[in-house]
Amino acid sequence: MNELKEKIDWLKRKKLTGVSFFMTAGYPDMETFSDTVRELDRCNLADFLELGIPFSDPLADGPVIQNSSREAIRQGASLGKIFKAVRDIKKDVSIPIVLMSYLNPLACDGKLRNNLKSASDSGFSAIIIPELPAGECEETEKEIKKSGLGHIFLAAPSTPDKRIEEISSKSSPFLYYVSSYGVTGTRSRLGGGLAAKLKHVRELSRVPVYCGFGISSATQAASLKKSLDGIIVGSAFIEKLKKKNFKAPLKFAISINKSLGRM
Amino acid sequence: MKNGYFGYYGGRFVPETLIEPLNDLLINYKKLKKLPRFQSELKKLLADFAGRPTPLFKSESLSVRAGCDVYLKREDLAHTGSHKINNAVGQALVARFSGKKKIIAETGAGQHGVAAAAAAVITGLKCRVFMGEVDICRQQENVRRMKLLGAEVIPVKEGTRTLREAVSAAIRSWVSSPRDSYYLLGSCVGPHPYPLMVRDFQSVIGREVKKQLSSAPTHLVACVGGGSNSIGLFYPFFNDKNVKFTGVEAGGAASLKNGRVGVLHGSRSYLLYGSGGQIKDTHSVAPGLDYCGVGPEHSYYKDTRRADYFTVSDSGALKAFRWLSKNEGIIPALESSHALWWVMNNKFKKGDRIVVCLSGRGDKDLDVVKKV
Repeated sequence: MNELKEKIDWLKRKKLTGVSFFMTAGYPDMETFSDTVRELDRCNLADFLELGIPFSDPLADGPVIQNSSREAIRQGASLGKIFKAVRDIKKDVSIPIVLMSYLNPLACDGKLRNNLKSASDSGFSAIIIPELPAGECEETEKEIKKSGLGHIFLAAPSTPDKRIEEISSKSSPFLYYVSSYGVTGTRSRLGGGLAAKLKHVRELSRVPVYCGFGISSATQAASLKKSLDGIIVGSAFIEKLKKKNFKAPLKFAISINKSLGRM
Repeated sequence: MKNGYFGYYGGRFVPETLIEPLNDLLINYKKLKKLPRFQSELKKLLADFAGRPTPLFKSESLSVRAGCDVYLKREDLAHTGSHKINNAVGQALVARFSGKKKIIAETGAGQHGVAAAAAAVITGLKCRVFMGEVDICRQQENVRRMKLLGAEVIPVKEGTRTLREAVSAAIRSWVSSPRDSYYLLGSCVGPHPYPLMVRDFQSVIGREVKKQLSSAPTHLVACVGGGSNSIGLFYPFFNDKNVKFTGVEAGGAASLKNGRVGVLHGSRSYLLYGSGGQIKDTHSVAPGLDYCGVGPEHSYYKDTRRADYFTVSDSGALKAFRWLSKNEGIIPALESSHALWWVMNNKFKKGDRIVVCLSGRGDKDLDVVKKV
């Protein structure tokens, strides 16, 4: 947790826009996945990474992440294997890593506490559960707190101001703002007035605001730079991994970093 | 009991985007429940459009076989051919009173899709139905009916291409346009307040049975997929502890019998999943039962032993399908045939009075049966 919080705080102090990429753990295969994480770290192209545990029924995800999840599962990616891969990666990689998981893979058969402990031991800093809205399950929120992992909550365009404040006071080390209505995946255009909305959310939030869902190009990233603390790019990045090689995703990551004036 | 939960089950495990729409839905629904104009319109539609009350028919041949009185609650005679119309009409009215213009629905067998399409027409709403490709192939009649009723049928090509993926696709579509669309969920599953609302609208089944029988039944029997026809039959008798509830699941999709507690499609309930929490593929000859989860209220009934749940195989259901057709002149839906087979193969006492929910008509299943 601390290394992610330190990073987020540091970016805030330096007035830098944070950059993160979402990857489905184990996609396109465990080796390319691990190599890509190492390269992003080596080239300093991301402040932290968000790794998704593949799930058979990812309700909040669009076609790209549905397909990458299905493929990772087909190849046998499991929580255990992913924890092991991350433990190996973290031996020589300093980039903080956030775990994204649906509830069933994480909490099935009463294994929530054990899995959270393994995640923390493997080197994950924080967790995002897209189908666990703030306040729905205090039991789970408590377990996450106990595990020492940060708990990042989402806020959406439909979330009223008062609830955004409440969510942000639980969310650590940042609040994840969903750019627009819909599931993950590229959109030809983001919702109207997103920049203004983000400014408003930042005023309400007690923690830095990172935005994701549908941010897919350097142009979009540049247009939002002044309105948020950081961006998270998922589907557009995963699509570049199709060729089982880290060159295309790296090139894409460079373009995003450039658009935010970080290179 | 925590709001939105049946004991440990239920809840709202959905993306944050849907929390406010679900709050609005709950507030609207509570208001409408008390609004005389809503209630009178619902009553009128259920009577004149859906054809309620449906008859309670004493089946002589089943009574002989079971050794006691067996009644069939004839939901097959309701408009569009199944109990699904009760909930579809109710929720379509909720949608219209809430100012929505479009409804989104999912369907497995196509029964809910047809009911939703018809309810949309009568309430003046547009309708879009998500249906798995596998189900589209095996229930083509219903696809044609939905289209004739002006609904847009969207094939779901992901994963198992059955009801489970259709629900996911419908929820994803709803997340994309929660302000102008109303999600008309067809079973007592999903996030709060759906399980509650669907149960309320389906409870008309049990309430009618109460009026139609001169003395209380001893057993209520119904098939369980998501569990809407069964909860509708059971719930009005909940406090009547002498009435035994029996739910019958499909052998290849028995979440209550073979599942463990998990979270899917917005609620916590019994669920079929493998190691690592990945959802299992299911199989049933009856598409309406071919689902990996079950309504949270049934999970609560199971844990508290208010209801007992059993399974019937495809072959049992097919035998009951033919048996009732030959012996009673009624072609039951393959879903309802599971409940019938259970009754046909159990021992009862002489004075027992059994009510079986004949949740739908079997015309839609002729192609499936021919292929088996």
